[in-house]
Amino acid sequence: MSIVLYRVDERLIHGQVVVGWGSQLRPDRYLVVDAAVAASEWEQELYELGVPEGTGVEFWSPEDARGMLSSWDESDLRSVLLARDLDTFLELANGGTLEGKALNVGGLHLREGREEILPYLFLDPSDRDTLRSLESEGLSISAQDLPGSPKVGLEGLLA
Amino acid sequence: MDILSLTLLGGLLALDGTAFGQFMVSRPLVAGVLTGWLVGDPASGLLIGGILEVYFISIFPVGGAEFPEGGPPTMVAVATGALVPGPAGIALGTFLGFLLSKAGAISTRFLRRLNGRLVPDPSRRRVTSARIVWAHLGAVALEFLRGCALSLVGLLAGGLLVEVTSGHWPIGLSGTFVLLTVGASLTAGAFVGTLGGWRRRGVLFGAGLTGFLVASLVL
Amino acid sequence: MRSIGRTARWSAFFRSFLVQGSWNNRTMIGGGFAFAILPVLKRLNRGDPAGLSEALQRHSEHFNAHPYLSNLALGAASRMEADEHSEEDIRRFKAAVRSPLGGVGDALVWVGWRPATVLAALLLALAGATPAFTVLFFLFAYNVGHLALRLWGFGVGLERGSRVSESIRKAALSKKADRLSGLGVFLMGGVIGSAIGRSWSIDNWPILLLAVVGGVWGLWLGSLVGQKVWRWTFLGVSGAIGLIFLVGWIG
Repeated sequence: MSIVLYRVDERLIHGQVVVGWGSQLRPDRYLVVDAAVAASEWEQELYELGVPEGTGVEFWSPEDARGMLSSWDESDLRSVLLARDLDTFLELANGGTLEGKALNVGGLHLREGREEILPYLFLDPSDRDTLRSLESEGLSISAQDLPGSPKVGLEGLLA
Repeated sequence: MDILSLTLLGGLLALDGTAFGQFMVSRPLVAGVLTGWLVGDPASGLLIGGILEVYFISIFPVGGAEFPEGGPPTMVAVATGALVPGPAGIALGTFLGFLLSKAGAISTRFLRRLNGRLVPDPSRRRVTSARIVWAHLGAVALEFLRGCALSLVGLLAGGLLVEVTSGHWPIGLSGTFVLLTVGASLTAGAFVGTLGGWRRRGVLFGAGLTGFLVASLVL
Repeated sequence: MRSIGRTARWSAFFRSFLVQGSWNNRTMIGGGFAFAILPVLKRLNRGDPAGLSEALQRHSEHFNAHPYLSNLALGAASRMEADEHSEEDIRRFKAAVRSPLGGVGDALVWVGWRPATVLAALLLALAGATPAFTVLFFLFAYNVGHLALRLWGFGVGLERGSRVSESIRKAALSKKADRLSGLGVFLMGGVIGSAIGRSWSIDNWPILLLAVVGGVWGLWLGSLVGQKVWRWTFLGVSGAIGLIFLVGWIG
């Protein structure tokens, strides 16, 4: 049934994702796109523990994931695609591969140089540039931590 | 004296909500009965606390997002509702409970922003153990004060509303019952939807419903 | 490998009840985590202020997890500090463990255990239990599970350090969460059934019918909309009550 959610979230698979979005969208699997986690078995073992009973999880490097995007989107399985940062999504979206898709910005947290935009969202100047590039690759971007929370559009994030 | 002890109870209920322990004394059911004892009407406490409990059951505080607060608002709901006899008291109590649960969420949002300035930020400067301890305990104290302030404001507003609304509840017990039932069924439905939905859990739900319906009619 | 010491362990455990005390948007429960692990860090870095300072720095960084299960990270981080893991290791471990501890904890406790014990208590109340009994039953049942989870998490963390994932898998927390949520739905059906049964004696049949029809509609709509339905419900019901008072006041 395709990819039902594209989400940027530093915490990857956590409560907001599995309880908040998961119970609403009922995905069959979570696709985690992250170079470090795809190469680290012990981290994968930990993330696997956070997935609800009966739901799958796969770990992909951004390069490999790029080639899978269309087949995931045409698959009968409902997937939630997660990445830790905006740069990973830019790597996936480069060349318009994700044109017309909605990108949900979940949680990007405090780091040196970042300032608070929303309680769950901190951005630095390079994050803002990446958001603009993602938009020009054809993604429609909005921030929303949970399905029931107010949705904030890109203009609101860059203002 | 009563208002002082209720305000302090509100502060403690706020602490139990997130900052200290989370023993769930702050659940509407428990906070309602505790307040009921304090004002000498535990049955009203159980009734209003129980109603609010069903409304709060589909709210899951995941990943630190913003959610309505249960403890101090239920305290105000019961303390105020118990002053008014009959369905008007239940209506006024639940009304205040909903309103203050939102006020609790908003005040928590501001406190969390304030806490952000209070706690040591390791990306900016060296952290000392004294700084960690005092910032942390200071934040806990602020949360207690927030709970007290919310409770006091709620109790005063409640007292005022008791005066203003007195004798002005035109629908009887049955109308109140229908209104609250329909509202509670929405959150109960959301609860079932979140925990797997009808297709997966419908049989369990039906078994519980029929089983307990028959049992309560037969016994 | 250095020893953590009994006093420091218990001190960290008791402090963990305050782990969410300084919840904030910048580091979330980072300040609380540092507060809880402080006794362990002090004990391990006795006579080494520079070492203590560095350890404090890394443990006051951003962290979040379910409050009860964060004890598992607390125990594991204590063990890793005692075993002198590298700073990078500890940081990566905490960043990876926070998410599953949050996800499993939310599903197990907030979605599973808490509603199941609350609904069981409501059933007792509907069956005629006194307010005192209802509340004490809930607090006792809920907190047996709560404290067991805190103790288990801290113990497993302390024992296994960075190799906790196998122990968590063996505990099959996701499966338990799933079973508890089934129990929760069953008990929710039970609460509704008992409530109908109790209203049965009302001689006002049209009202009971109205409540049942409205209730069925509400259950169906609520399940379609999902968690976010509480927003409109809170607004709608309080708005309706306000309006009715207003009508009564004018009329």
